[in-house]
Amino acid sequence: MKILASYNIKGGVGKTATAVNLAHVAAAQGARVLVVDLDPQGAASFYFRVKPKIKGGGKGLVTGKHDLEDLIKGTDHDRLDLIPADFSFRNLDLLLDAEKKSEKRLRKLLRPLSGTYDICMLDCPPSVSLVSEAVFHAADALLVPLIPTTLSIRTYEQLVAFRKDEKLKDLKLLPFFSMVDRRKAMHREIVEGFPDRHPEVLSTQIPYASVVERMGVERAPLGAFAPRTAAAAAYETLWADVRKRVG
Amino acid sequence: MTGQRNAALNGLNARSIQTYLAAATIEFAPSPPVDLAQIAEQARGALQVAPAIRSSRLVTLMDTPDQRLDRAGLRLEAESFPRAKRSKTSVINLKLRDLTGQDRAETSLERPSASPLPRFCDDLPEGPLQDLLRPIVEMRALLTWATLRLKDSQIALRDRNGKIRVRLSQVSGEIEVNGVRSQIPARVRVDPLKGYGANADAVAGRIRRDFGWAACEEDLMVGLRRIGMAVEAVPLMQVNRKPRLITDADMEDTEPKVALETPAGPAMRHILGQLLDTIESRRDGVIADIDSEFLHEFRVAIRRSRTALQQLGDVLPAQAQARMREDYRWLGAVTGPTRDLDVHILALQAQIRSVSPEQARILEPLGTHLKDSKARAHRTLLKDLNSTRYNAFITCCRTFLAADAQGWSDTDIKRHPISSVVGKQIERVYRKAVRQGARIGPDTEAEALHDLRKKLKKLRYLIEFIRYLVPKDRIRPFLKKLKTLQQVLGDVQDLEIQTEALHRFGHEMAQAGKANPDTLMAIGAWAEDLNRKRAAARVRFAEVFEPFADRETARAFRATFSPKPRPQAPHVGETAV
Ligand SMILES: Nc1ncnc2c1ncn2[C@@H]1O[C@H](COP(=O)(O)OP(=O)(O)OP(=O)(O)O)[C@@H](O)[C@H]1O
Ligand SMILES: [Mg+2]
Repeated sequence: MKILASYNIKGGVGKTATAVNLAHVAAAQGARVLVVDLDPQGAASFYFRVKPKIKGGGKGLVTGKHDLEDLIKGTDHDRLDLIPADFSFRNLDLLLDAEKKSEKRLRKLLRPLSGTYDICMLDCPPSVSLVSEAVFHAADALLVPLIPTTLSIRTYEQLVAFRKDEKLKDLKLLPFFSMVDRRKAMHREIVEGFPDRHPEVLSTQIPYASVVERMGVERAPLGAFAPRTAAAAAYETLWADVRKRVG
Repeated sequence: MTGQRNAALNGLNARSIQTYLAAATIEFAPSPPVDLAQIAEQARGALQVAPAIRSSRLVTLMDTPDQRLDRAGLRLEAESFPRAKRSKTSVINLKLRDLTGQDRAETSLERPSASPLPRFCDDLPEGPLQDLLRPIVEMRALLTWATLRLKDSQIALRDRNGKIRVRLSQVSGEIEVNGVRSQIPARVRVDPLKGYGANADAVAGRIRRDFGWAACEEDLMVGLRRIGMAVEAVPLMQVNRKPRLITDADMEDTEPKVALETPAGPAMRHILGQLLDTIESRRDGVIADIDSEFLHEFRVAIRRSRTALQQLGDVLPAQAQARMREDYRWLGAVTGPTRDLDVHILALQAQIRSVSPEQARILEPLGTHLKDSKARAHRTLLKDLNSTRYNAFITCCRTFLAADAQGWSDTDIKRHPISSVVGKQIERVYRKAVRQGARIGPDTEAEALHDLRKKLKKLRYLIEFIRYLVPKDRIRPFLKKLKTLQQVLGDVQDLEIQTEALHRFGHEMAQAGKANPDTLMAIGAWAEDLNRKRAAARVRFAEVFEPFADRETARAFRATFSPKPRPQAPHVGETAV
């Protein structure tokens, strides 16, 4: 099982759109996929129409009292399951803090599922927190959506530095551009210049498209209600890119 | 005929034809048939009924010719569909389930559309499925034994958020085995979604209550297997020349069985007849080169027949003797080269699995060379198996073996019980083998070991002729010692042959300009390794010969196979003659 995390410290950059759509593409192509909604806002759960509530809540999850299997909900899509967000995930940080070796905890928690799923997709909340550190230790790769702005690039470079300082050499960073508007000169400039300094960038870009916003109305991944749109196609190529990198 | 089969199918208690979604699928056999939409409306509770989605699927059921998966309580399903609309590549999904329908492993692979399904374990992607299959399937081919054309109709029941809580589906269709199609009775399934089991239970409960159906208990596949076997018993081989699966009965035929007291002449006729059946039933598989086992079993039956002719010749009609001996010898000889190459190919495949991918790549040209040589040898073999001589041989054997043939009980010896005739022979061969082995020291020529090996093979076949007549617990310890000794002697000879062959292949490849230095070096290193193993086996000889030949074994042996009549001997097996 490959563990991938959709991650960025910044909010509203397309993390959830990425997690939900890539998970759907992967499952449609035959992989067994589990999405774990780590964001207490529960956006990923919402897109899959699953109520974000778990009996026992985040506490049980972190201390391992819950069998993770019991929290899994089947989505409407073949081979695609979800662990919904819990409002008590809000307390996840505090709990992780109280646990010993908390940063390894998430990885250990997910391990029993490795025979059941090929891909585990973590949808992360936008924050610097213990949840992030647990994610860094659990994930094989971070998918980092970047809006082409100078500020975005700086945050990404902080992430690169952090990875180096913390000696997380097994963690792959897979940045890619999201919400790209080719009509904007600054977007074009940044998108074109970025690979010189960061050759790790994935070549696929997700365009800015209103159909992505409609996911909230349809409550479904793009592939399920708008499979023939440019945005849906972009997520498909993005997934092909990711597969090449993580094997 | 078809009506009967359908009746049988309808009588099945099926739990699930396919449990793709969850093990906890609940299934009903509706009678009389009811429209799925009507069932959904009745059972939905507070959920909403979505329109039905219809689809059809083609599922292939695979097993080895000798049904190893079925014996192991497993079944292999293959489903193939285009990668995308109008795509030229197909995705083949393979699932291994146990007989309760539970998933054991699955894998998928991409192939150009319309290419055949993977045939050997080595053709499968590495992973749990291959790991599970390998020790069971070994060198055998995976053949399609049935095709299912399934029609699915599916209705989702959704909650107020539009979330699917449970699916209802109806599966119907037909199963085709060897060109014969039978209807599969419709099944209605309640498929729970993970985490929403309560909804499924509620829906199933309403179906039970309102329609009065009980949930099915047995997996439909178990029943389909039975139907499949019934269809297969029809001798379709003559119709389409496709080798059919070998049935249980065929398997048992490879080990001849006769009753203890049967007079030697008729018993011999029966044994030879069974062996001839085996030879004939393997022939098509040999010709089609399905897998190496067909030829192997073909040859074992030949060797068994030859042993019978040599060791028990006195009980054969005189005129049959010479002719049959000569023909069997010929058949053994013409099948040799192909079998040898099969053995080399299997050895190479095992070697490739045990080395690094880099080393495996280096050995590739050898694989190609062996395949080419095998193809040539096989072409020659085809000529022999289609020759007038072969057909004359079969006709001749059949005539000798025919029920009304004269001369199977016209002398005293032919009227003796088979057990005493074979028993005497077993004792004689055993004594000879012990004497022969005792003369072998650490420096004795390999030739002497090869001779002993031959003798032991004869001994083994002779024992197998009557092994069903002898109490198992008596024969087992002895057979174990014999097998161990045969294994060591087999290693001594086969590894020598293999080493020599590797050198020969190396030369052939070098001459044909088909090998680079890396490959030749890898072949050399492998040959050296085999040589070391051979030397080790040679050293082990004394150690495994000793228990085979010691006094205690000899005594137990005499007690078991003594030709003296045993009045209260158990009467096992059939009085087929
Ligand atoms: N490619 C796109 N084109 C247009 N709108 C987009 C695109 N990607 C995402 N959006 C919209 O932007 C908003 C934020 O997207 P999303 O929720 O995926 O980001 P996020 O990084 O997960 O946010 P948060 O940090 O709040 O979790 C949503 O309304 C979404 O519909
Ligand atoms: Mg989000």
